[in-house]
Amino acid sequence: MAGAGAWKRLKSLLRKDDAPLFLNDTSAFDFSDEAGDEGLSRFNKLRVVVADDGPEAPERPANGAHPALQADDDSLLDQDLPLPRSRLSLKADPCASCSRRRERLAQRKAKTRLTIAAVLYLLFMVGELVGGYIANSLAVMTDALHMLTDLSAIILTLLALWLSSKSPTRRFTFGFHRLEVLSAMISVLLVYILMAFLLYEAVQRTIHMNYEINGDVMLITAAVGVAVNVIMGFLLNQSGHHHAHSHSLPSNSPTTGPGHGHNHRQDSLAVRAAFVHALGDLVQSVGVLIAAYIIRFKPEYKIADPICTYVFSLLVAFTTFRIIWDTVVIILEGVPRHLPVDYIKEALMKIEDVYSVEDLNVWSLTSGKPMAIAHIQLIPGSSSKWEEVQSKARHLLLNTFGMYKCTIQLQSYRQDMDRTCANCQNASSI
Amino acid sequence: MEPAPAAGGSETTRLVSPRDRDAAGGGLRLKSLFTEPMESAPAETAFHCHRDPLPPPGLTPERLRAQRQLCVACAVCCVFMAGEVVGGYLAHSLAIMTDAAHLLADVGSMIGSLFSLWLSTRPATRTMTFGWHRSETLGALASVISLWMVTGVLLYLAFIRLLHSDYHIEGGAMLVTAGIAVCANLLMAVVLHQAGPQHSHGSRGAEYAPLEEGPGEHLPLVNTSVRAAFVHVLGDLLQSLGVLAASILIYFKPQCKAADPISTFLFSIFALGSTAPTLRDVLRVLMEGAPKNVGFEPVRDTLLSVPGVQATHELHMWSLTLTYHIASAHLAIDPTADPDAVLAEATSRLCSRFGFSSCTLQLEQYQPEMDRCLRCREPPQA
Repeated sequence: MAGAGAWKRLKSLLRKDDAPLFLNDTSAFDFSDEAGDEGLSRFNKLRVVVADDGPEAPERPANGAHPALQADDDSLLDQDLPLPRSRLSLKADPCASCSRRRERLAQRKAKTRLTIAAVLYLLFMVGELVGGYIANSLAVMTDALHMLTDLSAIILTLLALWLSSKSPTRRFTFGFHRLEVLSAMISVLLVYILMAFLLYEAVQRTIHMNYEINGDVMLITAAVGVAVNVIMGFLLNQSGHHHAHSHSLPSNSPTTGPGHGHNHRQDSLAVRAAFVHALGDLVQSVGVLIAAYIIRFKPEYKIADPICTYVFSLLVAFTTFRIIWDTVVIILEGVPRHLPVDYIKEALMKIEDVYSVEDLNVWSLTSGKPMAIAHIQLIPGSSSKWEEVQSKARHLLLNTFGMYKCTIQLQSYRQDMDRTCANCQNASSI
Repeated sequence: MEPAPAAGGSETTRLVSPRDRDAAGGGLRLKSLFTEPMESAPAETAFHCHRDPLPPPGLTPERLRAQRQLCVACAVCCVFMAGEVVGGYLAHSLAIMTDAAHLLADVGSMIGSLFSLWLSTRPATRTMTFGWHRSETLGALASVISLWMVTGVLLYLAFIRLLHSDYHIEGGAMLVTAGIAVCANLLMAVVLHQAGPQHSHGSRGAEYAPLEEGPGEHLPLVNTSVRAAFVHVLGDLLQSLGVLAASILIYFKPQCKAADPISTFLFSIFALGSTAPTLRDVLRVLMEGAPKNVGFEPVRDTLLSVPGVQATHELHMWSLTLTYHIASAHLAIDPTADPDAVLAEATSRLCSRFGFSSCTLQLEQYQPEMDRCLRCREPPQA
């Protein structure tokens, strides 16, 4: 199966090239240059703004102390260690307090930046809505709707930051990360409802053609809209240079999982994605400006207004569709896009003394937090080595594949199981 | 990726339920590939992790029944809608056409439920390792959301009417429409009604050995899609009753036409309220919350009571759907304990006492540092 594994790796590398070309609304805020991000099914890439050392902010335990790193198995995260017997994570990090403080500072800075951006977006959006209402122009209001999607992306990031600092409770043993996914879905639904409303109005206008547009106000509002998009583009993209570090999950084993790779390449991909998104925004605003010019100087071409609405609604639908798709996959407990289950199973089977891997389940808590559970059978006679196998498997899952948490059940060899149990047959033939 | 076939014969594990052997419905690969004779079980308990399997893919009798219920309800709705469209066209009545549109929305949500039910019968794939069971819950959420949206539209229209007060109501047409709507919704509610909480033995029904009594009430053995459709229809029934009441009032006293929007307000609030329990349950499942009738402490105490277990941490419980629950935990064991025995005992206790469909337990050697480890602490009370 080595050939198939290599093919899949190649495919995922190729996919990394594809992703930014897609005019994904949230791809603008992709500041990440850590490994594995480009292929991730992130519906909100703004989150990585706050991560200094890892994909997302660390989860705090109940009593408020801060673990230095976010993965379950901290001791293995940043070092090329021989696998320790103990999987506990209280190893003395020489500068744990420094790194924690740095992290907190970075988080706070990112939070402030995001809050400012959110407030600005809100102000501009309300202004554009009012301007569009006064000018009686639907195109301007559709542009404001586009700003709403950006605003909701920022709010979601802030929500995710806040949620990841909430510790899990007994009722929600995983914490509240899923709330981010549900909020993303609801915000996109809201955008779709508003868009349907605008489209309905546009259709009415196209049929009846009995509306008047105030050309002057529309022109002014459209010009302000262009300026706003340019400003916000600079504001949000300039912070991409902060993350010029090269931590990334260590690929200390020769079998690097897919999605690991070349940091410089991801830097350029992230920059390119941000550029493409900013371009898309600008194109839309400029389109509204052109329509405003047309309507101002040639009022008989007022059909340009509904036409703009149609085109931009399509654009918004197109770019947010991926968000809906990703959230639906997460909610259905599906495997994240960047993690091939076959490859993981292969890699686990390659560990010494492993006879079979059953019931490998991979799902996401939220984008960027994959979880895994697996039942591993040992080959006959090696029951005493279960701890080694377990720690190797955990290291593989947590470090190579970037799992957020995993639970591995090891069983001694029972030769009869696979033959008679129907579910084992199901699992092994998947 | 198949493990190499075992050299020996096959042992019967008496813990594997005989139900696994039957090919219940299509889409299952349950036929055993090996036909060698079963040897007798060994003296000790042959532990196996698949004692209580996840719900099988394909059409189980329960799902078949749910599908039939939804199809019939959908058909009833379509018939009524067609009748209303024709009648409204003939009578030139806007009210009847509006109600037909409402029924159309109902049909849409029921088709959505059917789709999510069909989806949940699909077998697991590489990208959906748990199978498609969650689609039921997602369909339920979509159904409830569609009810909220329709109610939102109605509230908006009622609000506009109250504001402008320049509408004319034909008492006769409204009465007829309201009567038809009530009948349709009543019929659908009867079709979609499922028997109340049966004495279910946990999550799998009477074919399995009875469970010990866990804390909390029994789960109703209902299908989530049908439950959501039922709640939707119930909400509609409430609204239609309100409209009927208002229309009777307006028929006999045409000057009280404000009764129309007011009753819409009132009964819409009722309808939204009636969706609250379903919404709460569905959201709890989607948020990966612990199952409602399984407490954290009993599970933790059960695990701690297994001989050899010193401490537990990272205990997670979540649901795939309202009736199928999964657990995972890390157990810290004594150095002297036999890992296999501890695993077998812990899994069997968990699965038999709480009805988890699948549990995954990771064993670790107990270390004194675990007492001080911040992340080994238990989560606080919700």
